[in-house]
Amino acid sequence: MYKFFLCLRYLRSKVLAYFAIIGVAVCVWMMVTAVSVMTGFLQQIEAAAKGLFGDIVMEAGGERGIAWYDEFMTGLTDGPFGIAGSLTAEQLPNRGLGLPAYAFRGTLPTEAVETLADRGLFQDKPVTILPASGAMRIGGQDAQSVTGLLEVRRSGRASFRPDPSQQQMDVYRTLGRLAGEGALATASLDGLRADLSGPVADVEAAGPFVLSFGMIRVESAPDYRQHVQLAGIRLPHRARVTDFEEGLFVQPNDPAPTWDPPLEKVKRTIDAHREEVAAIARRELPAEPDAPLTVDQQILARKIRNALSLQQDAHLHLDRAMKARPDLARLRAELEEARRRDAPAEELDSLRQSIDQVRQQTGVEPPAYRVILGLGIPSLSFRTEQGETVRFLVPGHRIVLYVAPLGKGISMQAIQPNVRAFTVIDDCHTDVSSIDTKLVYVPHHTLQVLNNMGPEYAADETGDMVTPARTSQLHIKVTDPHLPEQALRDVAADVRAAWEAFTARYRSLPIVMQPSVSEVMTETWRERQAHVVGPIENQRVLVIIILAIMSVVAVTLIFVILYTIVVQKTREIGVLKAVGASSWGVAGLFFRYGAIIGVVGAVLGTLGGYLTVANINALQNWTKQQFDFVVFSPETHMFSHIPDTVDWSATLMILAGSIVAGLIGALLPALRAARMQPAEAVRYE
Amino acid sequence: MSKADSPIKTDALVRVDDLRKVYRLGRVRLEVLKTVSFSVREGEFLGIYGHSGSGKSTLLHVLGLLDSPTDGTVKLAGADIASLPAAERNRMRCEDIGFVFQFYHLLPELSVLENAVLPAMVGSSTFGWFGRRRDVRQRAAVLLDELGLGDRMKHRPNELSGGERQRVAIARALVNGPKLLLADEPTGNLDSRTGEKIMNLLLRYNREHDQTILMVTHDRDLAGLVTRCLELEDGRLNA
Repeated sequence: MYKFFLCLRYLRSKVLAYFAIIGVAVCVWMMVTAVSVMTGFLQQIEAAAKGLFGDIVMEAGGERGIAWYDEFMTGLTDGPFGIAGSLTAEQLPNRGLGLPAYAFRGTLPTEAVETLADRGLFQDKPVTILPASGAMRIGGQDAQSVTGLLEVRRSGRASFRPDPSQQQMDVYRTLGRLAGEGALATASLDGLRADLSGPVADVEAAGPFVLSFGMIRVESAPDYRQHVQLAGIRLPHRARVTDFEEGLFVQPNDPAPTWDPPLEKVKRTIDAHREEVAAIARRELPAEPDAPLTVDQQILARKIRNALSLQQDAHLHLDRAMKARPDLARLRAELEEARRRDAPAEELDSLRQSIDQVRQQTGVEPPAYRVILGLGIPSLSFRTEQGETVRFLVPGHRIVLYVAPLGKGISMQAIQPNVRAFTVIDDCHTDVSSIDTKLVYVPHHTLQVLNNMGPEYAADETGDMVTPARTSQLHIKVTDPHLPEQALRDVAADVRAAWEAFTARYRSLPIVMQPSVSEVMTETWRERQAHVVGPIENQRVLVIIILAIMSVVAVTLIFVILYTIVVQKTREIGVLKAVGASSWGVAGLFFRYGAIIGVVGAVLGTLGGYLTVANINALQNWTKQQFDFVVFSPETHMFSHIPDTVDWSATLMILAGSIVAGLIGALLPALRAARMQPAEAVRYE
Repeated sequence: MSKADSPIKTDALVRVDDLRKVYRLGRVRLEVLKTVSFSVREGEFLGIYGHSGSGKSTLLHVLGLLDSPTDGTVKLAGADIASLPAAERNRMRCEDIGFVFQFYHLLPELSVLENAVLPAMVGSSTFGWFGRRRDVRQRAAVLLDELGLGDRMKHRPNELSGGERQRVAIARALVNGPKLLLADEPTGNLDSRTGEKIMNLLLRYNREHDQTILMVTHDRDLAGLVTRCLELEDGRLNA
């Protein structure tokens, strides 16, 4: 009993003890703050990286990009699959010198076309070319298996060309013999199978991504122009690959965001935002209309007035679009009906024109021409001092994009931007300012075309594809979001190997038709962000080392202070022993003393750390206002705010560590007190 | 355990036979006590007179179980202290022996009352203490009142005079009702008038409560007031 009692009395009367507590508290406080903020930074980078490009990125060097990406991605997730139907051998017109060329041709059943369409192979283009194999039969008899490239059009028309490889010379010989006998049509191919490389273990989903540059103009502000990065993405597929949907304004956390959300929803979102803006105005500005305003208030009042009036415009656009919906539906039905009865071309054209006119009047573009703005593009929104965002440009507004077409061989003199009007349908923030201030998301195929990466077809009657649709990057998500870096690299290597095997099968195509003309590289998100992650991880290690040294100082502090107290209390220790206290009892007294210093200091430090981290952005604002001192600037750190969540697992370790440190510091003094001879102690002056 | 039901009934509360105490300070061997033998009867006020350095404090420390003898036997209430386990020695220091020091040795962080109840607190477990706290405080308050400190109980030692501090020390020594009160120059640090008062207090406790007291002093006048007086000279006892 006396141990606790005396311990508390000693704490109350010894100023030294308070110093020790403060020392421990400061160490813990700094450690909790620094480690939490750095962990937060790393998590933000991870979230931002994954939000932007998933776990693994595959990118082609140069601007020509990656072709046959849907075929490759289907392989990654699904692997090979069978295709119904049967094809017949034909001789191809011999273009120039060389061996005669043969192909198996025919029309595949609807079922087969649907299989391919379901796997997304007709997205962005009406034809797919994929590595395949089949069983060749001659006169109904099994002859041999053949590998080659299968080209299927959406109409079902298909053509299979055997690979002209050494191994398949006998296929060509057989076909040549049959052609000589005039019996080529007896050769057929069935048991078709798409030989796609994969599936790659741990790959959950993959999506294409076009990256380009351009300029944005706003219809309602003719003077405004801003250069931006354009990101072509597919919705809702994007949400399966990245955390893109988390930062959406109209469709937040919607697992299937689209380019065509219900207009009512868009309007509701804008109305709610207008309410918020009005609330800010009520809070920040005086209620009386002619009250004098400070300069800051004048600026804010002007901005808010501006924002509310612009938002009103968007509101009107949306209203008009909603009103026009019955008309559009009627016109579409008419068009559909006219198509069905094979109406004359003039009638169809006039109907199409009517649809365009109605749409023009509403000011809302069709889903293929809608964009999602990065929330942070300069002058399209602003942040109040409290950190609320006020949008000038909201969903419903129209913008014009100028796309620099980088996707094709261009000479710098002749660069002609592709221009198109778009309707803003949503906005998106990732909290990474370098992304949010620059990116405009555009439907993948639309940007592909505007960037001159779309498919091209021969001008002759064949209409054959001469250049496949291409994309800039593939973004890949793995099944386990917590896969360690090494495992992720292994997956990236597997993807890379699958790509090598995939491209090898296209060798027989002309070079411009091949999947990629340049090297393709795969990177994990961490490798891609290495220039950011590396320094922060190093800094974190450095901080932990520095703080560990500080902890040693804290232990020493407790040790010295307790030792001093024990020496000061020598006589009293003798008295305690004289009235019956055991050696262990006396040791326990000082051990408790150290423990209390450790626990109280650690708890106070944790509390301080928690308060600091939780309010770190407010603190930053305060130092900025009071001293014009900015510790953290969003420009250099690429994030719009400092991470403000406490890393509890690290905090628990720091807490436990400092308590243990207190006990270690108390151990020696406690033992000294225990070993003290009472007779000497009471004599001690 | 009160005196009445002590298992060992003997006239001699303390019995010291051929006690020797040798200190070694580096290579120097210092024989402080050389074959000291005597006994203290229950209810007796025994004075031991000696010059400073004669070994009287050492003798008291050995009897108070603060130090151990080099040779010889010391029996306290019939038990040989050399054979006692540490826990029993701690218990005896707490319950059977009261110690009054020349320099009071009060704990400055504690009030007068808290200093007085300290031995009772040391002898109790946490729960035990909550059970008997009221009784102990009551007893200490009565003791302090008897010693004339009734209005000083909430004061800190540094707010008291020397005589008052020594009375607190006596209250502390008596709070557990010890069989033996050891007093080491209890008046040595006080002026003669205050010293006389303290001496009278001790005499009164000896007389009225049959408190066995062993006091060492270098003051021949005080030696004359006690029941019996022995003289310690150069580590030997002369009757």
